[in-house]
Amino acid sequence: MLRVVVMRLLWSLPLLFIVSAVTFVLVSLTPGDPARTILGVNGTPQEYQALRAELGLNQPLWVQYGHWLARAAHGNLGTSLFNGEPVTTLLGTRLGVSLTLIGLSTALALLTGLIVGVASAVRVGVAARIVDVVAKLGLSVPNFIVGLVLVLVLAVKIRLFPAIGWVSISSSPWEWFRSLVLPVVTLALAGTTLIAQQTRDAMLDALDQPFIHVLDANGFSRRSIVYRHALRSAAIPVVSVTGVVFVGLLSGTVLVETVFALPGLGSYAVQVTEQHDIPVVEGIALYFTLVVIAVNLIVDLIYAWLNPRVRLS
Amino acid sequence: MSDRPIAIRARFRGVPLALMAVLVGATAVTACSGQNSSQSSAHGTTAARGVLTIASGDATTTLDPGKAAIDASDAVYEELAYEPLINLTNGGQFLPGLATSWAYVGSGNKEFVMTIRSGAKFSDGTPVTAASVAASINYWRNANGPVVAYASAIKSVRATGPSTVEVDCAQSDPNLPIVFSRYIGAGNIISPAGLAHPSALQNRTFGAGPYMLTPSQTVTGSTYTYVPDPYFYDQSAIHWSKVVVKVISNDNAALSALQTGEVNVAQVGADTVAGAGSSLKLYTAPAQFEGLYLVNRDPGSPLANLQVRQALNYAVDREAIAKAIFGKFANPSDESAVPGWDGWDPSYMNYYAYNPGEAKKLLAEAGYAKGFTLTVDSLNQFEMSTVAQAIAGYLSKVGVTLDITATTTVGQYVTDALSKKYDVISMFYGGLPMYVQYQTIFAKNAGVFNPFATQSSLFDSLAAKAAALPGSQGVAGFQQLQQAVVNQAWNLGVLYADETWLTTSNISGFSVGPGNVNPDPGAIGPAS
Repeated sequence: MLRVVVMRLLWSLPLLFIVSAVTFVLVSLTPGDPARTILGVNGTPQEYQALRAELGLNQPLWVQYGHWLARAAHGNLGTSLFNGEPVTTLLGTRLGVSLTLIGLSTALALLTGLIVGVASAVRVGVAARIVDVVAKLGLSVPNFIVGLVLVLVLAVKIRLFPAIGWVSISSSPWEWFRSLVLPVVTLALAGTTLIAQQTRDAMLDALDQPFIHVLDANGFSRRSIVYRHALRSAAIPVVSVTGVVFVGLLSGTVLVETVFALPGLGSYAVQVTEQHDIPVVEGIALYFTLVVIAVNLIVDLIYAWLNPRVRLS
Repeated sequence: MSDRPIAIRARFRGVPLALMAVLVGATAVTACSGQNSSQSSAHGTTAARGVLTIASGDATTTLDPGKAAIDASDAVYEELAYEPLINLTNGGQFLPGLATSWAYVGSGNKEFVMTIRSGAKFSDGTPVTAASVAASINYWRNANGPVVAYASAIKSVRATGPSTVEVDCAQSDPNLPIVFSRYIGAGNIISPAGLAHPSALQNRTFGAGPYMLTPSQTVTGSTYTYVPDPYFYDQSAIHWSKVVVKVISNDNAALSALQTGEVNVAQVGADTVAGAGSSLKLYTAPAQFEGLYLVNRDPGSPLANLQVRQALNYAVDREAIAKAIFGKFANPSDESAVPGWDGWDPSYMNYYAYNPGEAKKLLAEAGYAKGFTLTVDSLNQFEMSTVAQAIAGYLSKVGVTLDITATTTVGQYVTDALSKKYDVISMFYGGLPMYVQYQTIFAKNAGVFNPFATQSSLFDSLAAKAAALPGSQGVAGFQQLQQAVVNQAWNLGVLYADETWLTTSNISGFSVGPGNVNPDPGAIGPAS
């Protein structure tokens, strides 16, 4: 098991390098540059060139990347081209906001998905069909439309929750919670569906196993059979899809952050990419990659805990 | 799916349902109890005395006045903290700011002198002097910002006494009052401490204005918090304990935030206004003209021919386009000017009345009876490509085809325009003085909007003449320039559109109008 963890961490280094290089190239291929961001439609060609020189954009791409890589290898992610703030400072709060949003949404999706999935696995007939249809609706309705409707009904018409914004937990835990309810519910919807479907299929398989019959025949309580034995057996594919949901939400938060004006990494990534603020774009790409690596590692560790055979292989 | 042993599954029916009931119940309880705190919380009615929240559609790239853009969504960040030399009121008048008086000296609008207010201080307590004013303006002139060209006529700025500043221009420039106002921004005076460390200007404020940025409550790109500047020279003009600028890029989110009172002011698109309801107040101002720049006037191109350009102007039903795209928030016009700015001449609004028959006749006389195709560089913002497509519909009826490339980013739009691969560029231009329009659209080296560097000696001489005239004579001179532009059918102007703002009803002092497209955030106070 330790070998698996170490190998994963070693493989993450070339992965970070490749992601950062590809990101650099992709941003450079997008039309425009930081000088054009500042000038907009203004500026004579001479002024544009003067600004490019001032921002150091006339060096070849591989030289610019080399400088960035050399600093990044020493832990220095540089500063924003426009506002001079360190990338780590700019991204620090936003990472917290995004991870909170994604973490809570995944947790809610997992909880609700498990309940719905187990319920539909142990029920038959009309109820199961209804759950199926609702689950498919959850996947097909775009999350930002759900978000806009929730805001209209629960924030504007009935003032239950705020329409926008983020309050840090240190300034007011209650307002922090209130500001998160609508975005988290919006984001959790598609994930709930995926997890519910996976749970249902895995539970159906698990409940069909011979050992379930044996436990039942031996008088184990229904609660114990469903939640302790069958669910544990069904857990591995559910854990897998939960990891996928979490990683998917990294980009899935963009629209929700925009609708709710939350200072997260997703919408910021779109903003800084349009502005060509290259050091910040690179920083975000790195952070995302690290989160994906961490999530995959955690999923592997949970596998090992759930399935002792994995630990020994 | 294989057969399930029904008996076993049926026994488990009750278990998960109980859990679901608990979950739903818990959510309902916690959600309901939030209602009581909504009035007093940070997300409640922010328009209660104390905090003003303004929504901006743009996260500003930098707080440096030398590099800031001038549209309202970018300018608000600087306007709160930097007091300009000359105040531009919401009614479009010039009033004293850090300069108590100003005047052109001699004739020809080449020498401009300002008297600096005594007793004004920067937010760090240091005094505003003529020397610091001159230093700040010179920093702005060399900062490679987006609108530095608007002050390109200036050749020197210096303090000529403890409280006088003299500006000398290489050629006539009648626009210095507006250049030194909050609108163009050269007069947003930066303290010596800020000038000594220009990199700090990017994320902190060093002005002499009513408020100052407080970085500890600011999240770059999301929320910018300003608190009163204790050294501001007119403390009675400070109406709020805090002003928050919130970046909200989505119009629906801005509208929701207005309706709940979380935001007090927001500029939204005309289509969002329809959903506003009666609790919000609507403000409009004529803000930009749209149409097509007919840039490829090189010999050999159809657009080099005056009759062709006039034909295109006759071929378009401006009123139908304005109504179809903007409803009541646009007016048909063939001018490159907007009401409230010099150069605007109401008698020229409908110079080319819709007449497709006349258009075909002129095209035939010019030798283009069979029509031709023009390539168009357009942009999917501010309805530019929608307007271009509407125009294309009308032009196709007289035999002219528009091959439109609609880009999605300003970067691509500008790169394409400068490439000279496009005969026509989508036109979108805000409210600005006619001389600035001349510098940025009609002059040979105007840049993006004149990529083929076409020169008109008529426009050059009319502009130079009007620029040297004082006051109302200058205005008449610039109207003549506008008339020449329209006579020459230099471009295909179609309409001027309003900008639309919504505010909550518990604030006062907000306005926009002809001649002022950027509302003054400092003028907003609580409703009395």
